[in-house]
Amino acid sequence: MATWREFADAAPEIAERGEKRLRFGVAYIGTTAKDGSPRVHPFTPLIGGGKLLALIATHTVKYANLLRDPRYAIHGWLGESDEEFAIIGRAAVSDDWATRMQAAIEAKKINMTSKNDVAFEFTIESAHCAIWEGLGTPNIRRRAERWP
Amino acid sequence: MVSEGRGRASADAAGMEGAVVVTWAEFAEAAPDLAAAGLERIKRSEIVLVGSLRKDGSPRISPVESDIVDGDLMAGMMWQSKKALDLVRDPRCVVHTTVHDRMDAMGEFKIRCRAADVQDPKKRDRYGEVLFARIDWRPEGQFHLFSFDIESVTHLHYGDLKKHFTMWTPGSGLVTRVEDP
Repeated sequence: MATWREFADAAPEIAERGEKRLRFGVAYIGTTAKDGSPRVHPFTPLIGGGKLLALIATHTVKYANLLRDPRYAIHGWLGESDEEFAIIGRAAVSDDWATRMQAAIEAKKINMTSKNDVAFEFTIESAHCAIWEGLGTPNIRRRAERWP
Repeated sequence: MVSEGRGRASADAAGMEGAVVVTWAEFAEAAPDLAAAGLERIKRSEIVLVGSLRKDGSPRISPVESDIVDGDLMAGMMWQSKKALDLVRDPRCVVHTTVHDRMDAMGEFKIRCRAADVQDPKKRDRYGEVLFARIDWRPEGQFHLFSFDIESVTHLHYGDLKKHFTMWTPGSGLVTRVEDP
């Protein structure tokens, strides 16, 4: 598992493209419910201090799911030519003073308000980004890159 | 409430207890306003997010195009793609509409489903026709086609500084709630 900074150091181009997809203020996080079935939730990723963070309210389904099973899938906002960015890894509560301050700084930049929440850090097992070339033509093809 | 005999136990390839499921048409008949709002959302973005399970049970999210074909919510997928293999292995999934931004007034639709692997040539042809009518393209050769049998539909949106929650299931019908966010 890598922090966002470790991932960005190892795969700077993928991370740069990914950061663009995650900085729209909303992305999607996949979790697993108590019965093991999948769930998808919109959420607001925050990248700061070399960490991928989110403030997650304690009454939400995703909060309970991530505490029970920290495995997550995050899919970023779709870009031009249906550009995709997705990561998987583990989520962990990281609600210390420094992390909350970092999350608050990033949240302030996008006028995000939150209450009754806990800061989570998402460490990264793998990442992939993909772009469709030739959309609307017979020569359509998918170009994908993966890390590690 | 769904009509007598509409709901049925899903055939579950993963061997888990089957849930009561209905087609999109049956859902739309039972909860027309909710279905119309969900369909409008699906059509507007043309993309939905499908949550599936990897082999190790961890989640995967994949954007796909979906269509209503003769009353079924369907999605075609590239042959042997990971998301398709997920659904063949374990049909439990969630279809989630896209949101436009953090404050998206239309909110989000979460459709919990069982994916059924569609092999019927007539249904596959019909899917191709509907897709072609929308985007002037249809898949050639091998491809996966799934219909999504619906267990529940949830709509969440924010308005008047409140969180509005509507859920429909075949067994309980519509339940609505308004909460402080």
